[in-house]
Amino acid sequence: MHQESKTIVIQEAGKVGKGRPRLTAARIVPIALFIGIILSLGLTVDNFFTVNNGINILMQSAALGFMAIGMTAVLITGGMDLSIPAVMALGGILGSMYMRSGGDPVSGALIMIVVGVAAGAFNGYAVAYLKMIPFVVTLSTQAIAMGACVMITNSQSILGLHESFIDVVMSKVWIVPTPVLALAVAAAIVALLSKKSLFGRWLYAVGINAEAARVSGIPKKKVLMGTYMFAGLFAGLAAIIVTARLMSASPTMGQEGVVLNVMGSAVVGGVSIYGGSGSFVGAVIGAVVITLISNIMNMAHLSYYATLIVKGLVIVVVVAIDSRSKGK
Amino acid sequence: MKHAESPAAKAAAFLREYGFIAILLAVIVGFSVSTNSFMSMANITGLLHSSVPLAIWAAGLALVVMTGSLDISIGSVAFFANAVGVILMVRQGVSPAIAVPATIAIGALCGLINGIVTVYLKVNPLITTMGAMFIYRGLALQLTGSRVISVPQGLRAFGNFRLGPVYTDILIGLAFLVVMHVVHKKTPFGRHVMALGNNKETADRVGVRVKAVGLSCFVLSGLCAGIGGLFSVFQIGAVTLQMGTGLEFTAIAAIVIGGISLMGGEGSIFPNYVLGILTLGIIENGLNHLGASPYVYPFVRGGIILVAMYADSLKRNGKPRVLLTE
Repeated sequence: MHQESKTIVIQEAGKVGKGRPRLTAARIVPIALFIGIILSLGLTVDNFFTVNNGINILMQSAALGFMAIGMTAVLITGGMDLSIPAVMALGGILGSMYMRSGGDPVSGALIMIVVGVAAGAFNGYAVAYLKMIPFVVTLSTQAIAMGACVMITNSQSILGLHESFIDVVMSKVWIVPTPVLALAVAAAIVALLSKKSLFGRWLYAVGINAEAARVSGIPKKKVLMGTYMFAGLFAGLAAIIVTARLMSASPTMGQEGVVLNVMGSAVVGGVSIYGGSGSFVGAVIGAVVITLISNIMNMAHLSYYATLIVKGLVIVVVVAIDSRSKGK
Repeated sequence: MKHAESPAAKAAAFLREYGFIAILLAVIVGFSVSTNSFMSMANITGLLHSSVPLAIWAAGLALVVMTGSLDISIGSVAFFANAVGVILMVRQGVSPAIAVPATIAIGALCGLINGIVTVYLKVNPLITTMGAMFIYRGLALQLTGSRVISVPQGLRAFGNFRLGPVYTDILIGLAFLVVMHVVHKKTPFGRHVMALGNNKETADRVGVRVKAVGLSCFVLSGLCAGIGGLFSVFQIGAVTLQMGTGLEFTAIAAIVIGGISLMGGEGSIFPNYVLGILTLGIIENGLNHLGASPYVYPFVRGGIILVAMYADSLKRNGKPRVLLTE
């Protein structure tokens, strides 16, 4: 009996990934946006359809893509992680300070990852075991992490990263930069796991109906805890890329515009903020769309502020469409 | 909701309900003992003076929270409304008698837009107001050309005007909060706010115009943001580029510290909201007197809100869990 109901929930979860009719609008919007933007750029900008330019844009989306994957996992459970960019900045700063003081690059990178996972564990514990609201927990974590960044650095940049750290992270495999390759591999693995592994099924089940999932024997608390740690891990991976690309670390890495980009990537990628649906590949495509939007506005000589307005509008409109299609 | 409980359970419930008063007292005593200057008349009026803008700014948000919703755009709304107002005065030569009401109206309009998207288009309030936060901030920065704009000297004087030892804006702020309190406690609207926050379906069934009440709260939130922003601008003497950044966080912290649950249906302006604002003000003021670096504030504030949120979740977990039977 117990076993049966568990299977039903898991089957339900499996169906979501294969698309229900109500998901169509949310699925079509990102693809339409993506194609629309690419075409309009291709027609108006010289040399847009070149391999170099494509690689450039992918390179710029790499760190955002990692963070969007983490955010997506949390959104699927019906939660939200606003602390990802701040944790990324804190990890980057601590790892860079370690390297600046003569530490080896491998440990430096590990520190960034560990900081991310630790912050994720903190968020996960508060959400799963202390039953706190995800939004307020991660908003607090965000404030604490940003506060710590500013406190440690006195708002100064950390320079003097290990040469080999930058060289390895920014290296290329043939013509593809390593971060882009890493993102592609990570996205493929995570997408596969989300569809095929038990944890992946549990993730969607918790997001669809947490109470039913718990009753049917899914370890809801552990799933939630694991999800926030996963998001932290990907924040740490993003920290490695961002610090190597900037050749430094500073609190501005986690500024509020980045949260907008991460949320934007997931939402534009068709991930529902109501939990239970969304794909990781979609979120990575969303990250490319968001990067393209920033690029277009740059090329059109619009200010940074105008990009804030446009991205804010895009998020609200996409979520409004999602809400309508779900009748919430 | 009241059951016959054992004395121990009653004590626990009392602590959960009024724990914030104990925290406030502990903080006051702690700072009074550890610094010499904290318990002086000048410092206390200064503290109240600097708490006034936030107290007005977030009063509408408190009502939104009581309906069980959220508005994290109030910092940006105030920035945008005040940027328009100050630009009207400084660059267009419009008289303050027109520009000030215009500022408040723009705040209310921003709130109206948030409310329509949230209540009628049914977009999650967090996402709506997060989007709005960036949109209004973007608009304000575009308008000001990312420059600090100073207000005319007369208005700046108004912001720091005193009647004897007391700043006038303390009196105005107090009057404002009393009005909010009366609206909340003594009017049908206030009762509907609480009904909505307690249970939306039931409220709807007993004839509360759920959507109209929800929308009104958002408008009120924008309105209060506009007014609170004005007080802040008058005190500082300019619209700065950082105006309202992170304010949503501080405001939610104050609301939760005061014991207003984020689940809605609970809390009051007096004493909950006001004590929340004061506690936060006192902690920052006290840190200042201890000679802490300003870089420490955001860190401490983050820790405080986390503790307050934890207390809030305890309070919620203590309630009978009706949700299971849904």
